[in-house]
Amino acid sequence: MDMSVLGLLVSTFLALFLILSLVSYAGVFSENSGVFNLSLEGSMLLGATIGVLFLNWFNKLGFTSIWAVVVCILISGIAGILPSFIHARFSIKWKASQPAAGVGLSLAFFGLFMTFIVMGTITGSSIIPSWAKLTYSDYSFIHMGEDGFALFIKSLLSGDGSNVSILIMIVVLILACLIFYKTRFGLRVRFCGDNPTGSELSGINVNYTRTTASLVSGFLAGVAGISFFICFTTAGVGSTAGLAFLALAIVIIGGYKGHSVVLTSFIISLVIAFVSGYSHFDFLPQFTEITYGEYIYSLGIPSVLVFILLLLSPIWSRRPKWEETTLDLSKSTKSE
Amino acid sequence: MGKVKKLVKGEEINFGSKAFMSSVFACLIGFIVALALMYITLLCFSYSNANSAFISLFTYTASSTDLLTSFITLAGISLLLSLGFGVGVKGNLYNFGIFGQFAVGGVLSIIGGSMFNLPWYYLALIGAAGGLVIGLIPGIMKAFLKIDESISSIVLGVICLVGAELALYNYPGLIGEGGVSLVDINSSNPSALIGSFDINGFKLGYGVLIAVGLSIVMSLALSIKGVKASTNNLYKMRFSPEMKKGHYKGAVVLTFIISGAFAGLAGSLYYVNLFATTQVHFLSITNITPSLIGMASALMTFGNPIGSIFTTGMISYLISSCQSLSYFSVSNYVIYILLGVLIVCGSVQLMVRFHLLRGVSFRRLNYKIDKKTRVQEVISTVSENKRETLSKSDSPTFEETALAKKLAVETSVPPEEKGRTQSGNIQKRLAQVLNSKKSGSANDDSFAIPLTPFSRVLKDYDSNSVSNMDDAEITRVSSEDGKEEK
Repeated sequence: MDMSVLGLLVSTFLALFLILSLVSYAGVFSENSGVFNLSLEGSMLLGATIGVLFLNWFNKLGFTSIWAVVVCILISGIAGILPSFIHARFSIKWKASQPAAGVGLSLAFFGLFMTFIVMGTITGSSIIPSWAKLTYSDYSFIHMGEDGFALFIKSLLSGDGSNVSILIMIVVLILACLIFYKTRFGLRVRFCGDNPTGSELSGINVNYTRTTASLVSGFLAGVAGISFFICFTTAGVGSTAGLAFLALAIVIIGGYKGHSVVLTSFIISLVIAFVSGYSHFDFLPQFTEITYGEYIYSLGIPSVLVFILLLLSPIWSRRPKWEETTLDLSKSTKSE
Repeated sequence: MGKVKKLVKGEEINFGSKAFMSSVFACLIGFIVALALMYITLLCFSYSNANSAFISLFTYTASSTDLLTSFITLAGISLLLSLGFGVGVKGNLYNFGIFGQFAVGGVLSIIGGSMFNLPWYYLALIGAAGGLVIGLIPGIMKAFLKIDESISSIVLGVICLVGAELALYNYPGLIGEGGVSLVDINSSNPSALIGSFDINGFKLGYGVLIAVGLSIVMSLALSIKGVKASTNNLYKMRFSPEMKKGHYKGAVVLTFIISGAFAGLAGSLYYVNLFATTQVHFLSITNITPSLIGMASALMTFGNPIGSIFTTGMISYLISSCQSLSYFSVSNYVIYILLGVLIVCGSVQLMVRFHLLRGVSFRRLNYKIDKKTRVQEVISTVSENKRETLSKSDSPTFEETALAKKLAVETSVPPEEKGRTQSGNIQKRLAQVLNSKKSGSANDDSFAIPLTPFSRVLKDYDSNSVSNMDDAEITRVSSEDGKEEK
């Protein structure tokens, strides 16, 4: 196999895996706390919008180092908190319908994002400046031999901003895993989802914990959103292609557990990366005789795979208990 | 007074008009919020033209008969989708993949009308059947496999869109090179077109009449006691694990079947007529717009078919007028901001209705309930009769509890004080609270009956009655409450 093709596949897979894992972990946080957060798509889009604006602004100011990308990604994460906060407020405080509020917010921020892009607020042929784009040639470490990995580390440390998004995503993902499984806050999040009445009686403010978990999920989605546009710049006017809904499906398939969700993201990212490079593989049918045959690989096969996994998920997946129980304080000692 | 007596005696009180008006106001509030946000967005993107652009949202569609025709068509199709989506809203079941069922109904009807020369009513049945089959899948997944219907329906919807696009452009003899249609339905099979009648250049399609007729039929069907109880029971089943046995699974599947059938029917009526005049692409954001309008409308009206007529019309009118925004250098994608905000407002409209219906603050009053056993007995008596009209939850509301507490206090009044009736004491206490609130000297720490519909319907309440109470009476009533607080 041509090494450039392998490089393309590995880089596509790595970027997509990290992005999907981040958004899926965002879903893990919110689902395990008891909030069905369908506004993650909105968080991704708002994070991407704000991040792209800041990248272009830094470009105009001449601030084009590695730290510009770091700052933009962090700002995107903070911006991604807003849709999740609105969703949390509506659904937790005001008992709004969670799926409807989430879809509405995602749609509203989709309109906002597309308006920014189409209105030409972000000018130029690409919405991401060239110095911030992820270039696949940077993945020289995949070449066989020790020099490849050394070259990769060297390019990272030399201030080349294109790879830092990958590094940041790895760091944020590891932090999210640690927070969810190794901290008191993560334990509270899981407890609130499993037994909200028991949590309240234990002195945990269930609404506060759920809201905080939603904010964390919004941050993760915002980071993933801007990273998506840095890594896949051809998606300039295609929004985030419904990745958040795919991520929520991954959460369901993965059984709402962090490690299972990451494993599921790994498998699905591998398949998507593989089929996206179908034109390079002769053993795959090319569907050239079919009009719009490219949709089979870009949308059809990933969607069918996810749907089949969803169908099979009840075999190994455990639904969160909050879907069947409600917080019922009337039976608690506080009301007596 | 009369209604409180009825309440205590266990007779039903009809608050139907209040519920209707609160629904109307909840929808209006949603529209006002959405339009306000729309105006702010227009200000951000086109400050100098914001006012003109905003006014054009209300005037553009009415400026031409062609635009009015397209608006009416969009409203009719969206109404069918709203009916389909609204079936599950009451039971908290959301068929977000309605756009996929819409596309499947459309492609089946295009193929049937172009290649098999079927008339429009057969095409409508085929489209409805196709949507029904697709809608069945997430219903079964939800009912039997307990997989969340929101995600499964969206994923299935994407698959349906891709399948519909591939089927349309690869069916032999249907589409030629460059996407040109090889079949001219207008000449080869005009019976496939639904047709319209002309009123001074304004064309009203029969499909719109079908949609309005179906919504009226649905409304009548839902008013039938058994059907209404079923939809209410579906809502209760959703939040009550004990009721998930038995009929819940069947009800879920039936909901999705009906939803899918309506979506397929809408697709059939829409796409055949669209295919007759222009190129069709299912994988286009504009083809999802009718589904989004239907969702927003159903959420705002909580699935009410008659209400859907008006909200769908209003939303479709605004969406049609959004084409004028391009004249003011504003992107048409702003309509998705409007739709998104309307859907969000629709998701909270139940809370808004709650506030409007009850007229009380959402904050619970903190008080202690003494004489718990007697209070619980009174609560059960009060709640049993009020449940259907005011509350859909199984636990008593705090108004009911407040009234129950007061009644419990009254029943414990010493014999020498039993000269006055229970309702008389309630009336005097209400008068005291209301007047103290008016004068701003309300003591929030003391027990205070909130301003509930109960207090408002006390028709023989006389605000001057308080002035007729002597200080001893007021002190005694207050001291009883003070003892209760301890």
